[in-house]
Amino acid sequence: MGKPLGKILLLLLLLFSCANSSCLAADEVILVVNHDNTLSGITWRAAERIFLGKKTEWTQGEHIHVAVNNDPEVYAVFCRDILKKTPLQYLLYRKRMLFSGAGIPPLVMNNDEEVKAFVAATRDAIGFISKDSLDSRVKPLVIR
Amino acid sequence: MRPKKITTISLALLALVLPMPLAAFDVNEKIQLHGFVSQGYLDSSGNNFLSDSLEGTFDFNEIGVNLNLRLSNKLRVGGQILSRKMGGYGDNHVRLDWGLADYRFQDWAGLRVGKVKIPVGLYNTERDSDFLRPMIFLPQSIYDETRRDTWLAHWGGELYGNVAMDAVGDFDYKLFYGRIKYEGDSVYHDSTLDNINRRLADNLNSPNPDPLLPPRINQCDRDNEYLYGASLIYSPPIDNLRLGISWASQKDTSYGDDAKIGEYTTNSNFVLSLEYAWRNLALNAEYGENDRTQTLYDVTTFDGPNQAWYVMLTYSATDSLSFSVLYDEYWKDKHDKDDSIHASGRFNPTPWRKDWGFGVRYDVNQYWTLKGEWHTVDGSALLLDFFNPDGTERYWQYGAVKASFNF
Repeated sequence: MGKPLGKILLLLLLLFSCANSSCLAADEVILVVNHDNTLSGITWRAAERIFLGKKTEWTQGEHIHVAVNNDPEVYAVFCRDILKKTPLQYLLYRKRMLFSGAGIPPLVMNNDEEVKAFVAATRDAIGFISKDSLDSRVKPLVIR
Repeated sequence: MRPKKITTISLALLALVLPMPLAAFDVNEKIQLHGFVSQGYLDSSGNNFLSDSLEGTFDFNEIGVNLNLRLSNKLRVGGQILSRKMGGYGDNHVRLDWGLADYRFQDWAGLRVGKVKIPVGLYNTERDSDFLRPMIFLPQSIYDETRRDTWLAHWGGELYGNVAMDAVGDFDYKLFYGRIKYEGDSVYHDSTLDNINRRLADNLNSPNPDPLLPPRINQCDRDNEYLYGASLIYSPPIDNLRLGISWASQKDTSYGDDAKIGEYTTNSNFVLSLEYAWRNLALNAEYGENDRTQTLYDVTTFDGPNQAWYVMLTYSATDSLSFSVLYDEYWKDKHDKDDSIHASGRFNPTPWRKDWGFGVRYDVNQYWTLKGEWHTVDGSALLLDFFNPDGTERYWQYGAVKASFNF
């Protein structure tokens, strides 16, 4: 194996000894849109394409304003249940878009409250929140 | 300590102390500022790889900053500057990595003009940002790091779009045309100059030297006459499956001491790609052939396709910890897998490269990534004589660790 492997393993041990880890819990999430949005439902494929930046306009041609909820629990469930990706895979997908020059990734919000405030104030916005935190400011969008 | 080293370390420290919420400047949907810093260590035994790596080197870093402005819902302008150091090259000079104006007419049709990344294979457009992939080095058979500057980005434009058909899936396409501007201080430039002078020295020392050839040249340049190509990525209605095909062609003219001395033509460079993730497993595989013709002083020094392919399997033990294993194979000449002549004119008894790689990646959080990998290689293809003036060994190893911060 030679000299490199020993040095590499030693440096890895040092790097990882400084690292920490996190644990994500699960919860139920729903898509929400502005009350002025006439849609009541959306196909799962269309939802996936919106959050992957492939579909940028509603059917009438309005630009879709996307909000990604960075609350760890909500984000993890959204990634796994709707995008069928791990949280890291979706994070890297958005970074890939940014750092390769392919586009600007969606805005990131810290929690349900920020997503609801953004969607309520932005006519053509879409976001995802915990089902428990749904209130009258935003409209749920059913995934068909 | 040299000033350049101080600069690098200072920038890295700056990134460390930036408070995370303030590090990224997503002012709103219209203005976004992001960046990354990475520092690695590269070591090898048997041969020098990309640098004087036999001694081990920390001259292995990248710093990038990008700014995007959305001028309207359809128009965006943006750019990324990059400073990198790989051994004695790059030297942390700041260069434009990409810079473009992007107008998206519809989801199925858009246009980017400026300095645009070349979409060869699935991962060429992201090769400067190592935190985007499982291992530190992209598989070298397809993404040869010694020729990074020849396939990184072009000045020109690309038509792109996403065509969706609900029952079938969707297609991402790109059609591009432009020219590559080669840097005069790249490893490829210097190794080309070295190879040409070795050939000229061989001529001088031969029994019947060609009197029309100079004894040596002091400088060489390479102009790209054109580059064009296309890529198509198909995402079928199967979760996390992508199938891709990309193709490109280019023509370069070589100059030695300002006189034309040869041509390099990529007649056809195609890559077939597969990416699939299932639960905690991810599979990446690509196969490519680059059919190229090179002439030097009216002699055809190479004509034919190479052959390159790899398979990489990644297992995510947790959301933040993953392990990868890679098998990567390259043949200089698809039709002649025996002895061959290196670009320098030197005989190479092992014109292949069979690389087993093992990597680990740990994402500390969404900003920090730690990676390490080790490779054992059979064959000396793709190695530069430039770094190995006393010859190469058939069996050799290399390994690297890298810490990356991005915001």
